[in-house]
Amino acid sequence: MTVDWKRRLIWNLSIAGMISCVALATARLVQLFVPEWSIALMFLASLLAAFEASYSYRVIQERPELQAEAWKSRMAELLLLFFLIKAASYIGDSMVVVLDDIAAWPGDISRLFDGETVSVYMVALLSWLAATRTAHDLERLHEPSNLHPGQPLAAETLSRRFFVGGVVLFMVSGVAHIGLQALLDWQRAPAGGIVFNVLVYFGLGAFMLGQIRLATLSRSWRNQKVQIASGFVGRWVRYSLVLLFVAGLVAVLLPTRYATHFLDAVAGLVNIVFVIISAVYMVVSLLFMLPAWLLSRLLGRSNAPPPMPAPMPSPDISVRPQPQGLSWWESVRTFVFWILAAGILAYAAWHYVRSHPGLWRALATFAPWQWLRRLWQAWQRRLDQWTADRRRRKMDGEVGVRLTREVKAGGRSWLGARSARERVLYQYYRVLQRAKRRGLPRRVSETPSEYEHSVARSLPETEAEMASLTDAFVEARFSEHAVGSETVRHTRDWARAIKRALSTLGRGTARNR
Amino acid sequence: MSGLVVFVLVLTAIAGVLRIDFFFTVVYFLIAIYGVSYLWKQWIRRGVSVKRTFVDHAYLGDRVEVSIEVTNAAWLPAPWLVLHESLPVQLAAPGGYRQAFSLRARARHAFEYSIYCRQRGYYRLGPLVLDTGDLFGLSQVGRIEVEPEPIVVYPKVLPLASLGLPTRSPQAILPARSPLFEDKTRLMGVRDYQRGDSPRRIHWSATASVGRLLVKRYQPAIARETMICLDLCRDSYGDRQRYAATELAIVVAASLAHHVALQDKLPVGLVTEAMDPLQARQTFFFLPPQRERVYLMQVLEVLARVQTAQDAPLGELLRRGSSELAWGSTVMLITGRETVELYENLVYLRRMGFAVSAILVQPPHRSEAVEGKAELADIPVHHVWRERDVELLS
Repeated sequence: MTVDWKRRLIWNLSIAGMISCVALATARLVQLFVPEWSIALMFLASLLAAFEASYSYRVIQERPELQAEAWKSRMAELLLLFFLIKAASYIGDSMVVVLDDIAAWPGDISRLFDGETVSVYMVALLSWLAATRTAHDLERLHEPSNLHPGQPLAAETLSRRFFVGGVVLFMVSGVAHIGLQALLDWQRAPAGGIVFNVLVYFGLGAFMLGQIRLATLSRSWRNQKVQIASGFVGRWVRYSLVLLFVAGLVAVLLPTRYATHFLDAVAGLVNIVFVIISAVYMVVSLLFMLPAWLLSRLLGRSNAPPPMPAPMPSPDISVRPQPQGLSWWESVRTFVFWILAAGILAYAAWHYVRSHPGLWRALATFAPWQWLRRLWQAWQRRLDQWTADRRRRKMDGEVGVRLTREVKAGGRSWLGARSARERVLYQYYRVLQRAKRRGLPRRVSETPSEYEHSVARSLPETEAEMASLTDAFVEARFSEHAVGSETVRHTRDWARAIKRALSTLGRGTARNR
Repeated sequence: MSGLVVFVLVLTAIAGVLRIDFFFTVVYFLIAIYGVSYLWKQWIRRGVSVKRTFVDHAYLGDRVEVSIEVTNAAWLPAPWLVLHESLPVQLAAPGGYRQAFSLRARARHAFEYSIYCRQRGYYRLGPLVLDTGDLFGLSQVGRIEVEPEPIVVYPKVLPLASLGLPTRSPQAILPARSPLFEDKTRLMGVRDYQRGDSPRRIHWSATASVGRLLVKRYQPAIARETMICLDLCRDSYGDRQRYAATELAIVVAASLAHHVALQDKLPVGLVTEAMDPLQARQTFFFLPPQRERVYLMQVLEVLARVQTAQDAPLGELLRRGSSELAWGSTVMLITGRETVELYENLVYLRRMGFAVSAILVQPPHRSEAVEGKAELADIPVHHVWRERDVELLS
């Protein structure tokens, strides 16, 4: 498969950029030892070497006539690279100095192979080799996996190279960033600032991982004769960039001091272990020295007290001073950090237990876990009950208030739109209202049953209807099951009969009778 | 991607030793790439759904358009999806339909492909598999599967200019659309309702007492029902061209059923014992004679999916096939081997009051053993060995 030239150019530039990031870190480290050497020269030489290596590898692959004697052209490239570096090292010198130096080469070969040139060339050569290997592996991405039996998959090789490069870059640029002296100071405060070459390396590396994935999938799809939709590659690139941006945003949002403190805590734990080991060492030493001292006393060789073992260095578990107070930005970052950390931990635990059914079964039979589970279930039951009670009370309250309001307003038009339960309650409240006007108010202390008896005493002819209506009300008010439409119909009839009987009473006179 | 966890741990350790804040940010960046990729993939897996639409019955030679609609209900775009539809080789090129694409958030995409119904049969389209994953290969590929769906390709139906069905009905020559075949004043019994039965035949009181639909069976005045007995026993066809012969036998059965039901407008049924791919076992099919077009489609559907069976004796097939037939019905046997036993069975049916006819799917020659048997029994026997022979059935 031929990859379009834009994509190849981007790949070559990315690879060259990543390699030169490592070279730049190396140059900074070297400068700590030899400050007069040029960082720019080393960086540019490796950038050029890496890009040239990728490009020339591709050219040789595309032109079969060059492949037979490829080693010659590659040797020529390396030779040319050396003289280019040598020439670049003269930048800033006058022509006379340059010519004198060149003239001295035959007599003094060290003038040609001076330390800076050789160092820069070695770094450039390593960059050149790394770029060639990477270009080779990138080409392998498009070939069938069974073409190179016994070799690791190209995608695996590339990702591993990215990892190794990342580790080397971290170490080299880290040392170059903080300096050699600070490296030995374990009490120093965390170093701030952005290390740009590290940023570029990991940004480009993550982007290239996406491209490697795309190439791997594309090869697999081609083998399976899968049609790839038009514009697919472009969308892949866009989505990759968006994802990297989001991941970068998350990374920037998260505070780093927790990681530092966490590692400090780990160091503290290591120190405590060290203290324990020291104490054991002291005790064991005493046990050995005491008999020796006693023996020497018996033999009369010495009157001196037994020698104490050399004290161990005291562990440093002191907490470093913390900045007082948090700005709002720090608070936001802290909040995000803990949310994410808790989420990740919870998810990891859940996922782990799910993927290990045996562990889950063992956990289920573990007594403390069972106790905790029962406790949780009991708590959940109580919570559910409390919620249900609260909901019912609220609903009853709402219904009661609304019905009373509706009854007072004398409105009936809403009946058709209400539930059967509410319609039964409405009829009962309506009767209460009518009875109150006729002098039979229901006291606050009266239960429905007690009120039923008091009405029956005043209106014995409606005893049966009142009993039925009260039963229907109690059922609608306190039951959970559905109220039937038949009950609603009967309730209406009973209420009508009671209201008819109530109308025979004088207004406000019944209780007085 | 193997090694990422180790990589992150090593980087964390270096960052801890060097105590550089920015290095922790880089570590977070790598973890965030993994986390966001993982969550993205999970959301897409939950949000993406697939629906397949097609006409699930087709005639031989039809081109069926299959539409696959992929919907992304998630609020995130699906970075990559690979659709893989497995298709039977009889209907499409090997390998099925495959497509790699991406889908925007809250979007849907429809794919269409066509299958060519080259061969009758009962097939399954699918399973349809939709793979998705993250952009960096950090987590395993997620998979969404859609169950296979059946499609029935009816067998070829050839025109029969004149079938020449033998019948004893005096009304056979009458051009009436609904001739009287049953004496409705003489109820013979009831049987279970079958699709295609007229509602007028339902015995409501019996239905009410039993609790399932029952229809009346009347004593026949004279019957013009035709029962096609298709012999699909493997041993009934020659070894050399067994496949071609059985396929031709099925074509003959389908053509006869089609002709009797639509041209002659007479009831037609089918009895056969064959391998049924739908049930994945040998099955005895008994479709009693009915006249409705929808019933003919049932017959054709059975003929579409049957395959030869290992052990399906012809005598048993004829016995079971004729057991519920009305007196005077026509029995048309389609088989691939002419034997003495075959004629004995046919003569027996004839003595039971059925009109009998045989179609032999074999080259037109007779062995000495059966020479004269057909003439002796006065049974019309037709030989079919090429498709155009079917048109000459008369």
